[in-house]
Amino acid sequence: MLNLIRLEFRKYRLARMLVRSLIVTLVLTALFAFFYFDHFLFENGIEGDGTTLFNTYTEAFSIIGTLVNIAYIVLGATLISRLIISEFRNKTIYLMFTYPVSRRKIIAAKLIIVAAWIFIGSMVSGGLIGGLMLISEMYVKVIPEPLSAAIIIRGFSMLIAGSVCSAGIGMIPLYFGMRKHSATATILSAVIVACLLNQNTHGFSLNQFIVIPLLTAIAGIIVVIITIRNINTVDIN
Amino acid sequence: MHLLQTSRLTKSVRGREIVSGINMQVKTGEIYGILGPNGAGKTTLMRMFTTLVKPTSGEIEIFGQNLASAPYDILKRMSSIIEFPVFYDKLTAIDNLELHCEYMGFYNKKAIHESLELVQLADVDTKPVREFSLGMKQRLGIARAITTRPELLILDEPINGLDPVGIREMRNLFYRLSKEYGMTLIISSHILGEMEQIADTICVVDKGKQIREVAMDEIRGMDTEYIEIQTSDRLKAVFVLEHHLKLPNFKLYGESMIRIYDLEIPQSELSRQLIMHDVPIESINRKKQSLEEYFMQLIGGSGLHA
Repeated sequence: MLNLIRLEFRKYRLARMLVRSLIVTLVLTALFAFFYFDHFLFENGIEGDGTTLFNTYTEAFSIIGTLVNIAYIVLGATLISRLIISEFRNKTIYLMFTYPVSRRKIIAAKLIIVAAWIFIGSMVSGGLIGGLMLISEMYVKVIPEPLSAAIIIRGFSMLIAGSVCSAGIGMIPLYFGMRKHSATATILSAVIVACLLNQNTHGFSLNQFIVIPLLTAIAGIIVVIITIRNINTVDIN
Repeated sequence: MHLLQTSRLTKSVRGREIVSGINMQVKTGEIYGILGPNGAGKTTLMRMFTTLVKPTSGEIEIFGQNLASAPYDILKRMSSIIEFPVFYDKLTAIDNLELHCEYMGFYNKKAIHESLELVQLADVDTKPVREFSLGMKQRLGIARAITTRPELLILDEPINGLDPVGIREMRNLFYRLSKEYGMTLIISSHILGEMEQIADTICVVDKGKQIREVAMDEIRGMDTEYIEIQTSDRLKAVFVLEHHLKLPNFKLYGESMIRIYDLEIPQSELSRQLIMHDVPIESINRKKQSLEEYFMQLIGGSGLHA
């Protein structure tokens, strides 16, 4: 299995994913900084309308989580489209499936890469942005709530839970993509799923109930199971 | 001992049989041609040999093992190009071949260069495959297929898209692979002329059915040369042929045509005898039945094809 993963990296030059992740992290940091400093800038009479997006650390962490989750679910879909959908579209799957390697293992190797990328990416990006925020808090106090070790631990566990769920949710686009081997359907479904789960109206996000993302993640895992189960019997035409 | 053997191999898609009851026997070391018009089921057959498509019923046996029960043991020992060669076209030729070897579990770096040389693509180091011409891709596809020194090579329409020079090169290459490297080749084509020149055995398929499996030596050896006589008095001519010339090996065609397959008698003698016995002759010709005619007869005779 490790060898199959290594070969995928070689085939698609996946080391370049690191560059993409870096860009994503930078953009997310900038976006968060915009929310974060909004109130601060208003108070100093520079800009903004004075409405704070968050008063507590929990709120701040949940915004970071939302940004990171949406970004990596969509990016995961682009990876699914590259690693799996495009093999069907370009018919290179003809080649892959005539190798003395189980079809299931080939697809599983690809999905492991996608899930791992979503999980590790969310963790690193989220951790980085959260860390930067905490450092910034030491100099400019934007969030009125006093900081404690318990808050940091809570934020960190939110991040882990969110990343695990994202890795599962990120598998849902596979279902829509495989139906007609369409890259557009893959990415579009990811955008829709990510936005539905993370829509933030008046501080009320579906994600706040951990149950809903958890159920969605389970749906993603079911998609994986069905896909891998069916792949052995399907005719490649 | 047969290298590949199918028994009552059938594939149906949504209730329609696209391959039905094929019994093929491919001998070790031969070039086996699958010949048939477009849509005859050639590609489906080849996809079944490579596990891409699962048979609805019937069996495929390769290297003496059942394909359904031991697919990976068999796939390790064969290579294929189905429809057209596909590559990871952002990668170079070498990268593509190296990946192929890795997936096949074949580790001999020298083999890659050898096979690139064999198809005359030795100097394509840095170009991504995307920039290759169709002919180059065909040759690269074959290079990839033979890198791992397979015992069985399955090529679906391998000469499609090649120019006449390329076709001749390919034909020579196939011949070498078979004779020098001892590979068994299964090649499909809808072009009879190609098959005729290269195949040892031809399996004619049409509308998913096997019309005939025939060794080329057999039909090359057949009495396909004949003398054709056109006469208005056929009865009299037949009488002369049978009683005076003692030539029993002839066939009647239509109202006035006779084909004589005994060629021991010179044509001049034949016409002299016929005229002596007052048989009116409109024309007399020595003719050769081409393989094409033979196959058209096979396909036409099956009643499946106009």
